[in-house]
Amino acid sequence: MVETTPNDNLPTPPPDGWELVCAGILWTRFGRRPSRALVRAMTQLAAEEALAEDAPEPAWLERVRECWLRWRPLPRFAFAAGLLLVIGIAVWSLWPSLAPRFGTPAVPICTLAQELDAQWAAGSPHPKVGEPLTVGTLQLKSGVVELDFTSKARVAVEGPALVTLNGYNTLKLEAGKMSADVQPSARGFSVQTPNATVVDLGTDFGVAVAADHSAQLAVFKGRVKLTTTARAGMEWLLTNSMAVAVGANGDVTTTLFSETLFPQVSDLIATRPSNCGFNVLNEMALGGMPLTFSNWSGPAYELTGPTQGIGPFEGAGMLRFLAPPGGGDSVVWQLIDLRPFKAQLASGDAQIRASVLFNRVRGNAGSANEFALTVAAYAGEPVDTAQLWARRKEVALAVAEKVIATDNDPATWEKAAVATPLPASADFMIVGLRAIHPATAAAGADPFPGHFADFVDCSIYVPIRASLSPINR
Amino acid sequence: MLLAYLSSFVSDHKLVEDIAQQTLLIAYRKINSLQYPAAFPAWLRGIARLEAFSAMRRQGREVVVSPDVLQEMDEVYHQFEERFPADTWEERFHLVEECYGRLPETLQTVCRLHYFEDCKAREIAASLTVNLNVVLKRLERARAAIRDCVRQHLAEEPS
Repeated sequence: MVETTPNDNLPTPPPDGWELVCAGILWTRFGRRPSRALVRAMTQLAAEEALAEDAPEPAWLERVRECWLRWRPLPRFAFAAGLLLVIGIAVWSLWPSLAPRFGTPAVPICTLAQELDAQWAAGSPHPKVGEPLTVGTLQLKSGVVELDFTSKARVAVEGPALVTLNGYNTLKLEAGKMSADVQPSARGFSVQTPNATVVDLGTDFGVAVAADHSAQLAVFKGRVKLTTTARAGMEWLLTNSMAVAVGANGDVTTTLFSETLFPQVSDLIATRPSNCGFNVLNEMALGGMPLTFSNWSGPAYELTGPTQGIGPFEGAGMLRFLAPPGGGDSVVWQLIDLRPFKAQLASGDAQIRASVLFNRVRGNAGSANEFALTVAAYAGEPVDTAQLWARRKEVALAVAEKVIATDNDPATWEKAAVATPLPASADFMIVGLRAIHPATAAAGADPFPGHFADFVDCSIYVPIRASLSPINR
Repeated sequence: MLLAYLSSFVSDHKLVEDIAQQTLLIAYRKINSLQYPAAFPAWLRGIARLEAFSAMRRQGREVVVSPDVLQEMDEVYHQFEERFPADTWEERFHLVEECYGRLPETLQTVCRLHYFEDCKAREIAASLTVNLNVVLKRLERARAAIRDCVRQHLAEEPS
């Protein structure tokens, strides 16, 4: 197919059915984009059925059972087999790579994703990070834990707390504090306290329950619906930055909004460099240190597709290090603006995490086999970045570097990863990728005959945080 | 197939996942109402369509696809099933991948950035240092070229 000369003046007809079908197939990467829809649906079904085990059989099911029993054995069997076959074919043809968890005796409701100085009470389960949790009660003496529900609600619970996991998208908070970050798929996530119920309508919110069963509720974002046992039939709708107190007698009064009264779930924000996969092959600048954000720059490199028997780790392109004119290491940098993330850095607990993949052709004793990833964070404006980089160990607010020695196998990409605390005052970051000049290079020989980098990943991580204020007792 | 169908007219990936999850739940609960197992894909798409419309309405959005176009989409999927009766949907979509592979590099680039790497048109324009309109036109031409290639192959007699 040949690209014809574009004519921007021609009106564009709306897409027809063929075009929309093709676009949809592109969006799913020809059916290979990962999806959790089936697993989530199966988990939800299993959890609902487990909870409904003791419920009386609905009348319609009794009628179905009667009709079923009137069938002759062979057609009944044939129908059942056919139905199972259809469901099986449908499931496995739609998502052949997913395995539903049939046969799991207790269906996990959530996973203990993180913990911060968690101490569990003597009679409570003591789950470990990464452990799936089923229906049951947890008693946290102190510290903070994060529970990631399969429904996509994430909850931070701060001890002393008594929490009962009683459903796929719900929990009971008998004492203690929690906050919830609820994704749209988990809309309807509910929290029951001894005298109130909070239902999420698409939001982040916090609930704290005191020893006398009074509670405080604050909505950080979105909306929640509040009902109380003392005022049956009444409901309150709370939105952004609203907070109420529910007294021990069920009275609801407005109160001062304070997000710091509650623990906070963790946050991972992608801050990848521009062209992080080097797939836009013409997006490169040759020269020294960059002076502006969002472009790679260096004295000697190129962006290339597959070459010398090495293909990109992902996408169409990768970076190839070349020998710089003055000798020495081959380095490429990019500046990343951190000012859009000031709110996340403000907690003081933020961490920058970065990684990159390196690979090289088979070499000899004289060719480079080491690479390095460096991140350095600074305050202020990116002025005289060459000096800032050269003196990074003295002047940067945070520096992290990882040097790796790569194997002699062009088939393997090897990862270098760094992580370091990121101060709240950081305004920008320099990411440096380096192929290290070998100490024993032969005179006149190319120290970098085939040295590559691909997929630079950066993110700001803010761990779970405890509240800053004590709960009223 | 379900995700691809929903992604044709719902642009938000998270919403597509949610609608797909709801669709599967409804399909499971209503499976007894399916009379002909061979009609399962079309039946599932019907449920997905209704769920998508409901979800978009709840969010105050409109599905801007006419009934004729939705009908045409169903016919396209039916042609995939007839042309490749024994294949999985991933195998059937390989035809679209082949047609994508025949695009000129400039069109492949914008498709890859937009559909595979989830870049917005404005971001692609900035990355490629071209006008936004150029990116939009390239995406249109890419879709049209893939459409014509797929339609031609589905119309051919099976070998």
